[in-house]
Amino acid sequence: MNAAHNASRRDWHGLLMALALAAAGPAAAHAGHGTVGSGNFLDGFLHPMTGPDHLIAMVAVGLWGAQLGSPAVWLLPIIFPLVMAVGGFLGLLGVPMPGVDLGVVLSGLVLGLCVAFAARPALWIPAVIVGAFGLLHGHAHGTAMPMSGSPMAFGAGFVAATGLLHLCGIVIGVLVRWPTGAQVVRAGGAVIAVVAAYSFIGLTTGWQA
Amino acid sequence: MTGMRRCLLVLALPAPAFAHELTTQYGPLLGPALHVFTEVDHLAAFAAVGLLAGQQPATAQQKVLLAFMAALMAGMCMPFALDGMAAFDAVERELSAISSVVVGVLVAAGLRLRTAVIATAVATLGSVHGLANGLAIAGSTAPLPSLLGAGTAALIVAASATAVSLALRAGLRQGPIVVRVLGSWIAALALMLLGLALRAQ
Repeated sequence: MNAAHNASRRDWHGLLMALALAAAGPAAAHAGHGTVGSGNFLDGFLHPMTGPDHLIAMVAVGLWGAQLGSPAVWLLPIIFPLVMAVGGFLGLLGVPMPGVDLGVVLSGLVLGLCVAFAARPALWIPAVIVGAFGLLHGHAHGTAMPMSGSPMAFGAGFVAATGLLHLCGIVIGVLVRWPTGAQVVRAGGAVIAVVAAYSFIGLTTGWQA
Repeated sequence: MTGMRRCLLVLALPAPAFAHELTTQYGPLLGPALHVFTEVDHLAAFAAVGLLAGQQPATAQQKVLLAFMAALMAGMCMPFALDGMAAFDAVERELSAISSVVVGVLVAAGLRLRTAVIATAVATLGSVHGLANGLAIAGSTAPLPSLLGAGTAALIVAASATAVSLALRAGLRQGPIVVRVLGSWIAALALMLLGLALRAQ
């Protein structure tokens, strides 16, 4: 039993190392190749990282995936980049998508609430919810993609950053293995929902604290 | 060294810079070879081919890589044998991106398909990317070393990705999923390259 548990833990640690290295390698290699604002890899990488609405929604995807367990924990990070790229593709072509900003903010609110209430619907429901929000997030990234500098590097940057944020959520979500940790994860979801609600109020009413 | 450690070593290597022109300053052999490593669309596409090969049964892995390499070399040689291939320049970026999306999605889907289907997908990708490189090489002063350099580099990328795919699948319980996640990233990147190409028109 203990041997199996230790083997499982070794697998888990190895996986985290592999994913973290895969995601972080390009950032380290390109950080010195340009400056922020020149449309390079770093700009693309920072786009989801420095936009709080993007950041909390991506972490929430990872947290919810961890709560749902296998196969959702792996299905969502596979679906999200693909659907996000479809959104980015439409954004690049200038196809209008009304309510993108509102949808991005709402994604944090909805996903945060799902984590806070530890919602466990049928697998297709999280897939559809995450897919729909991925489309909106991708459209926002695609619209922001620069035509100067290196747009390809920018695209690679925000895909890698998005995957890394999912990974952060999944790593934090490991806490759900313990009763107290599960409560901490749910509290994290509540914090995400509150932050998103603040953005939602600010976006719809113009109010700022 | 275990498969897992090898895999981590490969992943820890710094990612290449994103160059956008056929490099010539390093000579006719090394220049085109570096082009494969530094052009993100080639690199991602050939890595996807390798990952896909690594997902196949042991008996099919070499066939998939061979189909890819044969098509790539044929594509690179095509501009030397046929007239009128320059017209391909107008749609090169779009077709390259579409072929990469298809192979990336196949990796992400992780479906068990017939070897002929997989070989057709990677051969299509190889011929499209090969033709793109061949058109650039056709105008060079030393085409033979250029073909050799670009072909060798493509084989190194694809074979390395196959090794990573196999190491992940053998060394980690979640390895097959990690390979599929990497495929989805490549498909996502290729889809946006397609958007960029269409927007540039």
